[in-house]
Amino acid sequence: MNRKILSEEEIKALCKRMRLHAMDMALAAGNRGAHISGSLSCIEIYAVLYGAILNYDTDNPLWNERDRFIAGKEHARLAEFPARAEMGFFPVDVLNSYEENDGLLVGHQLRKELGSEYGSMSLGMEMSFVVGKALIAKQTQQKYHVYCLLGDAECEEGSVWESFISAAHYKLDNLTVIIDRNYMSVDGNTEELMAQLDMQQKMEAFGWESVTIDGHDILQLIDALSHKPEGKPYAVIARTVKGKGVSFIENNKSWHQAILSKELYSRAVEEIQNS
Amino acid sequence: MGQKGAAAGIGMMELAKRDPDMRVVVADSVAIASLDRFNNSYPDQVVNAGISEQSMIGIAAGLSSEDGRVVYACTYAEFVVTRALEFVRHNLAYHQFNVKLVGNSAGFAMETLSISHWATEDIAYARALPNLTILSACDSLEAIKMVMAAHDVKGPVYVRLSGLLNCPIVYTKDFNYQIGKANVLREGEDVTIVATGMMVREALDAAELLAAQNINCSVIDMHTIKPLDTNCLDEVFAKSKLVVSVEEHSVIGGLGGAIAEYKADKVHMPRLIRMGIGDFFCKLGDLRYCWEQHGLTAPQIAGRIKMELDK
Repeated sequence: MNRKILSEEEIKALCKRMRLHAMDMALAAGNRGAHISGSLSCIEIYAVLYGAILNYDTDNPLWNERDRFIAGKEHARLAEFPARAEMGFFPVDVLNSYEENDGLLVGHQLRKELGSEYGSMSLGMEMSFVVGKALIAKQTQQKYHVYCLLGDAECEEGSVWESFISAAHYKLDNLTVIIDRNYMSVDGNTEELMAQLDMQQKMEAFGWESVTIDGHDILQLIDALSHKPEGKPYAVIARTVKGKGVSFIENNKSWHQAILSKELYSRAVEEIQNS
Repeated sequence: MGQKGAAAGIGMMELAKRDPDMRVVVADSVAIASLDRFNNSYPDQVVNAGISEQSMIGIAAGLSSEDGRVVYACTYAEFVVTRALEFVRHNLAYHQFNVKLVGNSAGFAMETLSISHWATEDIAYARALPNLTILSACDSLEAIKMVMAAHDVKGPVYVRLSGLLNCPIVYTKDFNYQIGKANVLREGEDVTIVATGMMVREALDAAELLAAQNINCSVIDMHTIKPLDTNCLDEVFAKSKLVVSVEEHSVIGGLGGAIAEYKADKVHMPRLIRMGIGDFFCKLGDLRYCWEQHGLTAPQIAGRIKMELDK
């Protein structure tokens, strides 16, 4: 590992700072609204990835041996960007400009110098790209690992399963996928709307090795993401709460993309700070 | 061997020799894209994505994403463009990964396999995408040169191959192929026919029929649909009183559409007649049967031109 690895306590503190950044970003987005709840569910996932798992060098973001992380569920930028900012990919004060015209962070840009390996855009798009990337890494004997975060509802897109089939077929054991299993999509609960059922069983049936963990438990995340099976790609099903960390947002479908008023911002910040 | 056999069996084989980093992604289409010999010779350079055209495109992009190496994605034109369109839009048009689509059997070439395998609106979809070079081959020799030229384009390309195994010859001798530079195959002062793909041969044959009636046609092989050779078109507009576009593609949004768009804001323009596939699904059958229903055989093209001139 080419950089300092954070301890469990440091990662917990990082999560707190990331949640506060998320609230600041949501407030800065004003009437455009922000993808708040889907970001909050993967704060710990991002914190562990950038705090303890991914190998990278922020002084040399294009370092060829860096691990490759590709962000699916790309609307969760209120988790993705605070993680990178806090770990040194760009200044923290850039965060609140993430919705600004022609900004560094606006939309879905591929900016390797800022730690972004792809602009995923439409849900599920990134998974086949990830397969191609992991495959060429294997073919060219690269030592780095490829990681991808997906949403559980995002897996309703069929092309994702095409990619799961090919990843197992090509024995891409340099590939780890994390599924943010928060049991919600825009319209509500996934199991009521379009049941995804047992995703670990599905991944195993598709030829992957898989595990289900508590996606808010730092040690479980570190343990799972450190595991590298041989001959198979690996899927970590991280059970999470959509909106985790702010009581009035948790499991509330109205907060997928919503406007955060000054009043609710203050309430949210207070809750996070007292947690 | 047809356009796809020539492109894969000669053009891509030559490229693989020159560029061992190159990859070819297929969607259970090694045989379909005439890549058997390629696959046997360069198995390490082929990636089969299975019958999954959307992920085929994503995989192609991912393979190219680290060092920008050339990656070809080869299957039926209808699937490589239409079925995978959003993946093409996203990975090729937007991110501009160095992926070259090679779509075979465009138009009605799949004959009685019919609608599912016909590509008749693909140029319309592709044309609206930024950053995508669109090439359309008229015979096997041009197909070889085209697929090889695509390799050196810095960015995404769509190569549209059409015709059957016995694809008629247009170029009887070697010729200079340059992306974006149309080839004038015949000169005549009465009408200019701007054609692409299989319709180049039909246009040349139509010109012969019309010459016998003292109507003299220029025939241009517009092999690059995007970017259009506008210098060539400017000369055509200046010299011709009637311009006819002919393509094995919808009259909406293809070569004819592109020319119509180009001339729309200019003054003193000649008439443009767009010949191609009409806005309906024809009765199912073989290649010529379909062409006949859309007026795309040489005698029908000649007849239409004469009629338009008589107006």
